[in-house]
Amino acid sequence: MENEREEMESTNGKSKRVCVRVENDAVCSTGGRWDELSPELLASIFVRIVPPVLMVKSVALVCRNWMEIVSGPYCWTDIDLEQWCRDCCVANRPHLIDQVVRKIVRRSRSTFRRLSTFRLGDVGFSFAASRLWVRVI
Amino acid sequence: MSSSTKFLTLKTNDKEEFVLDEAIAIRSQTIKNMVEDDCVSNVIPLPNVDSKTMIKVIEYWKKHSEEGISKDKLMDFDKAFVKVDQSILYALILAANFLNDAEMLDMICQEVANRIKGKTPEEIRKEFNIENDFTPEEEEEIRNENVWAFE
Repeated sequence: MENEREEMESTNGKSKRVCVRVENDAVCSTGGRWDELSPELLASIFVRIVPPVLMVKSVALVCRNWMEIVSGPYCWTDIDLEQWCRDCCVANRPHLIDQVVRKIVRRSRSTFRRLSTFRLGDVGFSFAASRLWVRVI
Repeated sequence: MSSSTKFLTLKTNDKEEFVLDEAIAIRSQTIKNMVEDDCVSNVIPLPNVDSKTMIKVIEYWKKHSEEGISKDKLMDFDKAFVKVDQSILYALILAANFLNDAEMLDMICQEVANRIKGKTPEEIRKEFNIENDFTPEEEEEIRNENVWAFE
């Protein structure tokens, strides 16, 4: 009822301010729909959370939409797993490297332009290389 | 006369009008394209930006267009500029994206990233007013899928 009244007032062109106030209140009460921001914008926020391990850890469990973005190609055009690979070696778990690099390359759906790793095995390397469109010189 | 400053009128979605030096307004690539393509009539409508947000955007543009301003001063300004409620950051992200101001968009995305960094998912949801729409089973599944990051 309240909304109807305000809409009528605004279409009469007399009380535009009323309408504006309502719109602003609406934004403030929901605080912006961060879960519904476009994939491109969310990804350009997420890729600034480095290293990517931290990005996945922070973002994946927040809500479904965020999880989908971090699981999709938008966040993986520049894959820098070097530090994570080094940590793996220190923790004596180098066998995980191939497995995870393949998983992330798959997430990028062949859109990645750069891949930084450490001690990547032959299998992981050929998997990544076969999905790279641009020839590595 | 021909070298005098040109002004543009920008009209936000709540029908406020802002008269702005063209040299400043073309920090927006969107507006710049319109000016270059000669499709600017008297008033440029900005259907995706409200006046409250536009005031902030113009404040940023003017500061960043000041002649001879030091890098330190700009950094201080930027720091203070992004110290706002997340609802304003949200409006600014949409505005910077629509206006296509890469510099401002970068800065705001970085600020949001900084606010996410180091927080637990629960803390992030609280900060950004996001609802947890996962079932406990789904949470477990995501954890398993990303076990390499969570370990």
